[in-house]
Amino acid sequence: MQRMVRIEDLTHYTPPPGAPPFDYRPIAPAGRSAAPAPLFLFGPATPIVHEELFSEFDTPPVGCYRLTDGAVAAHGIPMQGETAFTARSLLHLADLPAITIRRMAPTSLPRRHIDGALAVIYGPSYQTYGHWLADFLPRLWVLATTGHVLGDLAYVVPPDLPPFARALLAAVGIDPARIITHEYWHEHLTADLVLVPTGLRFGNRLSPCFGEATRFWTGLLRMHTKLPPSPAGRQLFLSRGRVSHERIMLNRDAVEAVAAQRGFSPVSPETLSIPEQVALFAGATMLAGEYGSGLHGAVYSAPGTAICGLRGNSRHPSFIQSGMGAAMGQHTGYVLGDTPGQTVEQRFTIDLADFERALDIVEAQARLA
Amino acid sequence: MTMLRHGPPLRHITHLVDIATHAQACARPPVVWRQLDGPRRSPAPAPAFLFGGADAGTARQIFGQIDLPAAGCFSADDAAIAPGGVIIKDGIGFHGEALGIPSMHAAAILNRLNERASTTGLAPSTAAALFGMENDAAGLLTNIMPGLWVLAAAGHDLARICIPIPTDAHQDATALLRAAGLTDAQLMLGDGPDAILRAPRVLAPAHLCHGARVSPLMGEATRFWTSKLRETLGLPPPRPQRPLFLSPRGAADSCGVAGWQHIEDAATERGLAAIQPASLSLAVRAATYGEAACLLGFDGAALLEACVFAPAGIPIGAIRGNFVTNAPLTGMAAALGHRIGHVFGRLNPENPAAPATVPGADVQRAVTALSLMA
Repeated sequence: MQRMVRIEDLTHYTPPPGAPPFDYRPIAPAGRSAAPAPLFLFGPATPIVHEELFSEFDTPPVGCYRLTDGAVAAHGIPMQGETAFTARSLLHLADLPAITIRRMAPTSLPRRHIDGALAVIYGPSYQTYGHWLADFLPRLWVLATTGHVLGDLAYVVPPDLPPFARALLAAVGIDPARIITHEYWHEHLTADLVLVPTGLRFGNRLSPCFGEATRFWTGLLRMHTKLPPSPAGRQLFLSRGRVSHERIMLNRDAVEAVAAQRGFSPVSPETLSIPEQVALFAGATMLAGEYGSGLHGAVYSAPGTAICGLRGNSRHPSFIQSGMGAAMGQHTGYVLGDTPGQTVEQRFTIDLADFERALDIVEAQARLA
Repeated sequence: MTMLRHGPPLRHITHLVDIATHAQACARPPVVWRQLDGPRRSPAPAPAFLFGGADAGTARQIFGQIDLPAAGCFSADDAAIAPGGVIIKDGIGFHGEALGIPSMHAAAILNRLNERASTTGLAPSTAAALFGMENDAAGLLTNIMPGLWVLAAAGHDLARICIPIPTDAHQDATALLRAAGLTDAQLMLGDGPDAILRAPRVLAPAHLCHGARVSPLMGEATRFWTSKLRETLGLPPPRPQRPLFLSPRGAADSCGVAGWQHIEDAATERGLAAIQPASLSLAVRAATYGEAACLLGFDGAALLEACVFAPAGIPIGAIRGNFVTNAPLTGMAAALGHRIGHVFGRLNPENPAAPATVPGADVQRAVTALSLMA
């Protein structure tokens, strides 16, 4: 018999009479504020760029939903009975829950039950390193702050969890035995209690508590992982030369040459271990490089770090670095190259004079810090 | 106003040098520099918001200037002040970035003086070259009035200084100087475009404004003269009370934005009170701006003036075309603790001189941002 599953927004959900217990432990309310401005903005800053940077006013409510006798569907979509849940702060694209539920509905899957509490910290875009830093690992703080002992929980992950994510979870002290790989198209995963910590991000805006959440999990990382020495005062240029398939900076060699002349050491973070990355970023006071996950490694850097992101002037890949930087007390600016506004696969060229100008400001800002 | 005694014409100015270089390079300099602060280098304060897309040159203007001017005052004994604020001593004319006088402008003025029989007035006491190349409404607020504080901070007694006022000075110049405490006896109206004023000592306060950036001392300098003005005019201290929209209605110059009436309607619908600076006296404007909880208006002298008289730390939105203006609004706002954002209009590429168009959505976003910051 086909399952009839309805989709509810967690934020506004009221369980029907007789439903299993459902509660929400809040940490911070939703916020509304003007976005902090970038340190600088050079190159063709189109209306799209301005809209992305300045017209997002909302930050999410932060807390943890607790679903007794809950379940987890594909992509970490939480369920309770025949109700699947979505929420803006879980970063579900508009039609993701509906597509997922439609696909799972015709099949009757074998049930696997987890005794105790099962936490869902992952969600869409789990394949991307930067989203673990921006979206998923901060949810450990949400769990801990709402009264849960991290070492007592099980953590559901998708079957194709990238190796870096497994390494990150190990680095923050999650016991591998507590990681539950969910073969979601082949099994129905239930638990006594499903914990759904909210994300801390709406679009490019992050809750003010993101800084505290990040300090929490990076603190766990430093506690559980031995780090190599961290040379202070470094200037790093983060290259995407080895990873960039969808975003290509056409004059990468020339840009990297300018960075090198200005004393920036080229690095490709994806070639380093997690401890090496943490040590590298922790010693940096100035970061420059192509926008992407590598730049998000700034979460390991100190407040006051000055950051120059190089990107096209398209909407993708957003300006999450600005929101993260604002919450971390870091200063982020951008040099933009022209590229079609709605494109994902893009090519752009950075004006070298603008880049030099940006580095002047990065250096001046670092001196102030 | 003080009438000038006249002396012999001053002719044959043979040298033109940079005043800052000269003051520092000579063992016994004829021009002495008293430094108060700087120069410094720092990133520009980020704008509170940008909407509408910024031309690359405009973005460079907003973000790209990292040098702040030094603050201080030049003085020279037995010297003269020529038109444009050019200082002359011993046959040497001085130009200087610190005084906002490019060498080419100074050369043009001095050539003209050499060719003509200029009128030379004699000042009864120390004279200050407050006025210079930009004596318009914006120049009054960014260079001329703050120059009073520079003079005082450099140890000069304002009550003993006379100030030549050139014929091209803005109509509010004398009213502002009087309201700031200067007497009629100290204000000396110029004799014409070729007039020179010779004095036993000439003072030239360096500009606190350099392009879009201003000295960190600008806040103190502005509070110095605006507080005197409030005292003279009997105005209460600034206190944020209501959000204001500065209407260009009745203004002599175009605001450069097409359909500004719709913008005014949108702003008033969202609760901003529209005022018309062009129809108000200086005293009423200063009083009204002192009540602003936030400001939205078109980039120009009226918005700059509102920024100067507004309570410290309010959010300001400037609606403007999309081009480099050299207006120091951003820097002035930063020095006074305001948070300023910009809405850029879109220019017609086939006729860039035509008024810019501003989408209503961008105005709505700006009003939302202002209300969240107020």
